[in-house]
Amino acid sequence: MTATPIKFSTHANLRHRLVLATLTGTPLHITQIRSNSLTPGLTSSEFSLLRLLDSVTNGSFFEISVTGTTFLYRPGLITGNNGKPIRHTLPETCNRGVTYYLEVLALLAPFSKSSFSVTLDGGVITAATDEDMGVDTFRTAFLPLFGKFEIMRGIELRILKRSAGPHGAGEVQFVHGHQVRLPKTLHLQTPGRVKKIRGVAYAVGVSAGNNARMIEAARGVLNRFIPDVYVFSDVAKPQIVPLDYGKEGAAERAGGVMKGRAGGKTKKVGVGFGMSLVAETGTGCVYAADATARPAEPAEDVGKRVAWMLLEEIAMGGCVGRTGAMAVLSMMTMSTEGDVGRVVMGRDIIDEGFVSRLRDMKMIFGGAEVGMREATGGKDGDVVISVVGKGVGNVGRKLA
Amino acid sequence: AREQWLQSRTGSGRIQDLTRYLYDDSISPAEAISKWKGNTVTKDEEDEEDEDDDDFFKKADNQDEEDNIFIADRTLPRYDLEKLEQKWSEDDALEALRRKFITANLLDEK
Repeated sequence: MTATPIKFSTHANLRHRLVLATLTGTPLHITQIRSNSLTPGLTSSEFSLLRLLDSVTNGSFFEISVTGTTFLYRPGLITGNNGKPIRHTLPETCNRGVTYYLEVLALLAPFSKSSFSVTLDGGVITAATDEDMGVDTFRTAFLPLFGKFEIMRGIELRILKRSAGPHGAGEVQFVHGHQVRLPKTLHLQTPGRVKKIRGVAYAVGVSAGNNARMIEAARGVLNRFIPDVYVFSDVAKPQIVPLDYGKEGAAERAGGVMKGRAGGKTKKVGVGFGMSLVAETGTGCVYAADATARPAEPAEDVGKRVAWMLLEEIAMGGCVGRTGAMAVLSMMTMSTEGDVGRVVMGRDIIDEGFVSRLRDMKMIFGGAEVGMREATGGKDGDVVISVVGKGVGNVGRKLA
Repeated sequence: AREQWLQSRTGSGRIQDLTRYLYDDSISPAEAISKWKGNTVTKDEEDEEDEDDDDFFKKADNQDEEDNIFIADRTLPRYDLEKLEQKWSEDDALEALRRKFITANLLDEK
């Protein structure tokens, strides 16, 4: 394993690059991570991601520079800790939603040597943040995507403790028991029409009335299209944590001891509410939208906002929504060598982030270009994206 | 209303035009997209992009802002709420979207 590492600069697409590198076993060398920022180097959330990668693989090697602006990563074998449960504690200062980590796990788990069981605790934000979807969207819209590759057994996300941002203290358990040699070649060309809308409204530490208000506002927007709108309402308690929770360095000083921290003074964290909506078409394609209330934002506004976002996603069309597009393309590249998979996506999905990720894929897989053409008979201007499988598959299973 | 709707959601360029720039590493992703979309890019936006040409992502001094969609490594798309509200409070846009739902009457359309 002395392959020359692929060089990237800046922390752009960091997760996507790490996932692809781990799947293909390609070493990465990333430089200039926030080199001009006032807080240079990797953030604590990103460090935590590297640690998580380390604990689900065997033989991974990280070499991080003192400032954290440069690191070298040589991925090991994805073993999932040989099927033994893993508990991974996120830093209290983690500002990314827990799906930031879950998405990585969901892409790695199918190619693991043994099953995954990862419990994430610590600074877990289960609600949607500005950047990351909430756990409900992950469970109802992201995980089912893998069903299209016939990866569907024994996959579960248990939400043990809910928590909203900015400092979370929730807990989730991700179980993945369906490991494959190669994912099935995907042909997904009929988006279909939306037949039902489901959702979850969550309120943590605030009145359950917020849920009802969000749901009513969302239904007000969506019911004119379809009567089959059902939104589940989940009311959870906030987490009680020491008073200095989430302060820089507080966790280190406490050294893992939560009891009696900050002189026994406590506060509530993770208070907030939000909603996740998922629209499902007759052919099983899903579109999702997700948002959490901003400070002092009324519940009605949140409900309407999420409903509008959902309409926007539906308007984009295609068989895969924006949240899952990259995951689907990565999985397609992993499939049987030489087989061409096709997926129809909305034209508006293609933006600069999309292009740069496709370029990353080409770099890491060593020449995996995708083909694009207009969908035939597509009056919507949808695009057929065809991906040739590289047959990388599951390295651990090859040996076994 | 349908024509309007189609107009609004399809970029002007054909997808074949994009494939030409897609893997051309001499063109930044942002440029590739703006070239593909053709004239939808206004003049001064283009000027800005030309400046950024060689440092690939953005100027160094505003790296803290992370407003760039692919720098921030985000999953959720970014929405312009005001536009969203404007768009979806119009009856036309809403009715145009109806064909994406099973409640649409397909016979009327063709």
